[in-house]
Amino acid sequence: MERFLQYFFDGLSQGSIYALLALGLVIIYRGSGYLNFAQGEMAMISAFMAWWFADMGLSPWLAVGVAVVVAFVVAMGVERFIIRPIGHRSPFAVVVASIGLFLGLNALAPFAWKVTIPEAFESLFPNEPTDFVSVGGAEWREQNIGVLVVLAVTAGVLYLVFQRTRFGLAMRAVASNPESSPLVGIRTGQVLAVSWGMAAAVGALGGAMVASLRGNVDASMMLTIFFAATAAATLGGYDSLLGAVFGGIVLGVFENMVAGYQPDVVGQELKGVVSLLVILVVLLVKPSGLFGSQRVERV
Amino acid sequence: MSELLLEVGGLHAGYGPVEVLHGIDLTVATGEVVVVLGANGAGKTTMMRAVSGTIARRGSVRLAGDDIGRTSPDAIVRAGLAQVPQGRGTFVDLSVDDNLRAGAYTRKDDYVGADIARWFEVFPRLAQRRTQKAGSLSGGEQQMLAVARALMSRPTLLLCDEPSLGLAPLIVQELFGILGRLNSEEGLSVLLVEQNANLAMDIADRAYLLETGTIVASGDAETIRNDDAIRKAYLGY
Amino acid sequence: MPIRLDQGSPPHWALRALGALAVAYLALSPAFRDLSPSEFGELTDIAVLALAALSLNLLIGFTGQISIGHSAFFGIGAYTLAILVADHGWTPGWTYPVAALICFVVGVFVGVPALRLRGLYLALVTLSLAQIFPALVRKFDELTGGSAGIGGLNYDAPGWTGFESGRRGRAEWMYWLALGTLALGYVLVRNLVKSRVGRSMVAVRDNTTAASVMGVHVAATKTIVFGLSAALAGVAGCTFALRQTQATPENLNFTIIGAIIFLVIMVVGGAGSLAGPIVGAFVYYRVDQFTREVPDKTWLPDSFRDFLQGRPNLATLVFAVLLILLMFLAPFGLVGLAKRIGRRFVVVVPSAPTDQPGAPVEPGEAGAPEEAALPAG
Repeated sequence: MERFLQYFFDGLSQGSIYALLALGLVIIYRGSGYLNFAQGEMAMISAFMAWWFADMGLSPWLAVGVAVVVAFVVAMGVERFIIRPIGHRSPFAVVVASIGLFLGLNALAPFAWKVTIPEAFESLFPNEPTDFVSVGGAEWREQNIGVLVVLAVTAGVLYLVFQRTRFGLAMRAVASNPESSPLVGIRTGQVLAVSWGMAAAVGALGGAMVASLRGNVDASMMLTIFFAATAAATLGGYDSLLGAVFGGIVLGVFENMVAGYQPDVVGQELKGVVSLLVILVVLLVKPSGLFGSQRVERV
Repeated sequence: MSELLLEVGGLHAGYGPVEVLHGIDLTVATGEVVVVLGANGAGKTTMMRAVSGTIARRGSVRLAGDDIGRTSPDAIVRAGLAQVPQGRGTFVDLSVDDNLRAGAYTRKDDYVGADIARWFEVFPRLAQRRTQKAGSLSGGEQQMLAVARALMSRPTLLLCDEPSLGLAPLIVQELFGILGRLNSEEGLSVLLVEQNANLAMDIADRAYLLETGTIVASGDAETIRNDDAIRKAYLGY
Repeated sequence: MPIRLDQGSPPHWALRALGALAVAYLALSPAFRDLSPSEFGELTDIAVLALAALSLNLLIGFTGQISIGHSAFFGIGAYTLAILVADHGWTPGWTYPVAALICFVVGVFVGVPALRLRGLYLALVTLSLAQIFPALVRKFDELTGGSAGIGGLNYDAPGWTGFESGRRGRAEWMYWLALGTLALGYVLVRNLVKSRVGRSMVAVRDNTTAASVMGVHVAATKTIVFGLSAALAGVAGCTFALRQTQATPENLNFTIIGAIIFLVIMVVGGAGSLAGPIVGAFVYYRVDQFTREVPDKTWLPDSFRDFLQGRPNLATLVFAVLLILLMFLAPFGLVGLAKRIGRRFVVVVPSAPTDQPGAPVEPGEAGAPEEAALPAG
């Protein structure tokens, strides 16, 4: 039982990170219909920025906060000046452009900060060996609880924004029918830009969580997480925010359980196989995912 | 002598290299219901889009004297022009309530809730379904929702693009009846585009006839109705 | 100002013959020129990349969907050859069909769930495939040699070719092998595109309802095309393994980066045209060489070079920027750009369609905007 709980708690925090990235993917998909290939790398760069700010003297949480804001603003610019104009030419070109962003951002971190080895990142949560809560014999580490709390708060804030604010209504309207939105006076361009900003901000939080858990920042740290996030969004349904959270958590826990109980079959490297299988099964059984709408499906 | 609310002069518009409208002139005076008749492909929807600024166009479009050539969507709505597009264009994933709120997006006053309550009285079917997703409503109900949504912005001019398309005649009658009442009781001006416009002519003050991108006839409703050729082609009798 | 040629008229044929001759010269000239083994090697590498990009081009042209995972098929092909040659003593030539078949099967298996859905899903599935391929290779190390890989893959020129033995002969032989597979792939894709099924698929690619009403079994066709595309990538992988003389999971071309490179080559060349992958491969190869050497270029100001000290990844950065710029300036690739410019000088007026299914309507050449060949996304 202890073992089960241990894998469960560890999986929850991993899943929370998947959920944060998946939320970003879903926000952009709902708004503009694109898969943001660069989501993971945007998160990675944001984590590097947080590390950089902390290095300059800011307290860790403040550094993360500033990085989140910067990510928001920069992503809005990316949507406005790169994605949108290219999108007018051809949606296909946007996919390629986002792949270009992926490559560029991935290469940018070591280039800009001259780092080739991981740089230490101070943990955002209490991380002494004794910082855990005992549940049923398993150790639920405080930093894992912390990540889960961050996810919960983020999801809560997003919910409030989408469901209770005027702008959130505009975002939902654009997601539902971008042609009709201007008719009621919604500026679709603005909404899309903010969507990208929000997605980047949420991703930045995810990146910060990853850095905190790992204890360092490294240019390749978000690659596998990005793939898992795509599987999580598929599982949850690409146009459902609830699905992103649910899918992330479920995938994280499931992956960790499989890796834990069958370390020989599925080691760390093969976690990706779990993601692929999840995607394939979902596509065969219910392509719109657990919470997605039918329209996500067929061409 | 009413002022001219909408003045369209020399309107040219099209898609890419294909020009669909070849210089349209029309007006809508305050308090008028104006119907534009035309067959499929005449350019009716293009005209609506050109007037509301959804597509690029040449020529002048003035709303209450102001040129709305380069205005942003929210400014156009705030200037008092609301559009009910062809095919309803409801936000199918949003609830009826949210659709109406979206209609009031540009408003900053406190009476949005009161207006929603009011439109629920005028369109009782919508009240029944207020928390349902718009996509689950029938065609007629969605059309009413689209109209109510447009009215939520308290427009002075309502553009309606073929609202009767695919609806049962009884529903169309109900809808036009409501538009007619809004026009006579509150002075809402309406520019209505229709293919088979029998019922629309009941509430019309004036009508234009659009054929392959040009206005070929115009006049007050009576005259147009009594014109044999037009009657046979567009009014079905 | 543009000269108007009627399709099928003598001047048109002359123009096409000229084009064909130019291509033939470029491809076959190595037979007459005295190239060094490394020059042959470069050309071989370009031909391999071109074939991989061609396989993606086939996929895009038919299904409108992209794959970000052809590196996996590339790798399967390479490892099939490696295992059969190193562990079972096969002659490399015979491994090609086997590799193609295996890739086809894997492609169909992976494609079936994804291809009846939106493009997003195939992208996701192939992404995962690319991601796990190196890990799988490392995991099944008994078969694949794990991280160390399989080495010693050489393909001596067979006697009937008359090439010398040893490195020189091998290099020459490799080039002709690569060129041959590329030509075969080109012919295959071209015939598919021009077949009745092919043209109807392209026409209804974005409208599945119309397709099924017309009796074209859309999902099945798409899946088979995906399988073929995978097979072509696998064949390219075989040649690659021979060029590298080894197959290891470290190689970038077997990872997601490789999949991206193939996609980039296809896009740079032009997604809607058959010549695109070839042009793209040339350009990519040269640009890649160039960007790697940028830090050493003496014509750069010293301050800039100091700035670059200790900063890795310049080549990739430059590449990423160029890629995004390309999407602004020439989203239809260099071939698309060239065709647009070319149309200012010569326009081919299509003749009235005949009833023969094989009627020569060159995709993109008939003056119709090639942009129509791009998927709606």
